[in-house]
Amino acid sequence: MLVRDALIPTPLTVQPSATLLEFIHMILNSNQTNAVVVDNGILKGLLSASDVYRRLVPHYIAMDDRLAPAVHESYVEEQWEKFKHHRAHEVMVTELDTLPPDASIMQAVSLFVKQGRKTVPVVDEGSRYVGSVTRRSVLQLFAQRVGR
Amino acid sequence: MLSFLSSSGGGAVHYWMATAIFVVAFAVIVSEKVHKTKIAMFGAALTIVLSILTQEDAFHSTRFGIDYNVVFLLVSMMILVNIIGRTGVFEWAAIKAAKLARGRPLPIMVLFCLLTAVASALLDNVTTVLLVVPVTLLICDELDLPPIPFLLAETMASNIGGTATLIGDPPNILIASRANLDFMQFLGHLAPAVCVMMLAFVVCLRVFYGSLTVDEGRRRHVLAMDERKMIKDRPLAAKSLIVLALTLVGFGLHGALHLEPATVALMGASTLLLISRGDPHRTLAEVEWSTIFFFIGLFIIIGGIVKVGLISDVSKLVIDYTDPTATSMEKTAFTLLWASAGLSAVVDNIPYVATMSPLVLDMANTVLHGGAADASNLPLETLHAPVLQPVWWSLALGACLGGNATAIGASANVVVCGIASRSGHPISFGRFLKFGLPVMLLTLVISHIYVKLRYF
Repeated sequence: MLVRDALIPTPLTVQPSATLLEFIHMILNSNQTNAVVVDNGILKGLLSASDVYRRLVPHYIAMDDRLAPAVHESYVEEQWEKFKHHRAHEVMVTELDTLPPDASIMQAVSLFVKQGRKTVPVVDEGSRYVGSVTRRSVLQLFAQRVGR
Repeated sequence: MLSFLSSSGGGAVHYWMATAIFVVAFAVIVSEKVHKTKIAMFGAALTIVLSILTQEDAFHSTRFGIDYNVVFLLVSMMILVNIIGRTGVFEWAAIKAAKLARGRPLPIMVLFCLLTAVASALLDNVTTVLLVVPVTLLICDELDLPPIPFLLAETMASNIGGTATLIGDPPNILIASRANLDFMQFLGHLAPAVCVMMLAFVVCLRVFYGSLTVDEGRRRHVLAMDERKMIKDRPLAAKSLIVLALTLVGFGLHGALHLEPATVALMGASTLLLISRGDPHRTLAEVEWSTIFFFIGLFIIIGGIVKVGLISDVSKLVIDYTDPTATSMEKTAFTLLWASAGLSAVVDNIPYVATMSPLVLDMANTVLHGGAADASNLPLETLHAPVLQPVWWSLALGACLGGNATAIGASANVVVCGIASRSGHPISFGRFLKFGLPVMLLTLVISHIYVKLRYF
């Protein structure tokens, strides 16, 4: 089984200039929690709900989560007001693990298990984005091939 | 294979090889080009491979080898602190302090500094700042205050507080082990000076940061905090505090009980491990093994220069320059105080004190025994001779307090600057120096006056 067999050719994509507010609306209208950031067909990064949370949660909570109950209730709203107009390219993750379409599906599964990835972008030799494999798409492939 | 090196003429060869290993290792540690643990371990391995020390010397000799009292004291305290840190008692105390200060900036800063100083005296400085910095950032965020003044003040308080006790700062642990000084001796000789320093430091805070103000609505955020929510595991918090208290009592009595501090700490750490739930793997994984192996490597490298006689030669130079006698070592003490502070401001104080402690022993042997005794096994009456006391305390005061001057002077400074930067509040080298250098000079002047009044 190869990565191309589990490829989703048209997952959620956003432009690098999209705002976090636009991104949130986009994922709320889908069943996804992340989107690939693509510019003229070239993969630029990955943006997920976790990246938005990282902006809303201060660094000291990441260091010491026992302090979370002490943060005042309107803190998240204040942070959201501050960050909702930030652009996708300011927040996205750019250090990505990508795979070519002819990679073994085991390489994708290994990234899900060992690196905790949920989505792995797939790019061709010219770094052009051709789609993604997700935990769900790989499970669907397993079910088709071996689950019957 | 290299045994020819230890045959005829090996003495001079070993002398220069040990000196070269020490100088190169120290230079690389100071340059920070390679991690200090890697260098210390490599230097240690070379010391044995080149037959400067035998493996027996390095692993089993109390004269030239690894000081397991220091190693076990550090490991045990790290285990204790890791478990206590997880309970949330520190966060509880900090929020309680912020509420006690009614959300006013200067009183919060003063209380946080006192909390940090006391915690640093009882625990490791780096762990203390790792506990206090997140809660400080939270309080500053809630009060809309700039966090850098608070972070700087707490870093200084941690280094000052850590000076007060045997377990407060690694240089003190090293000195205690080499000089056979106990916990109560450290407390009795250093804590009074540290109390005066903390008072002067609080006055400094008022001068530097007395003008900080805060909005009334923001203060209400702090007053509305519930510190009880900070403690996640109440039974573990209670057990941890009881074990810590008993361990501290053990430290207080270790001289009378004829137990080394490492044994007391090991008893505390193993008891807490035994009565706390969960796998010991997590706790043991959080021990700073890199620091432990740095110490191990350092002990072997320094054992090498002690064995070949380099320390003895440098000690003679110190004797020539500072002219210590069997009745007074005043010039030696004050030279050590200021030189240690100056060096510790830019150099890691652990290798510095690890080198200076055997040097002081050698000097004591020369001055008090005419060089006839074994410098690494001096009798207790020599180690604790009233004439030698100010030398030990000056070394401790200089090495611990010198670190306050610069952003790289102490491990706690480096850790706080790193967190501040990652939190979006970078502290420049100049900004640190502007506050740190005056604080270092103030505490050194107090130390000088204290040593002069108490011992001369």
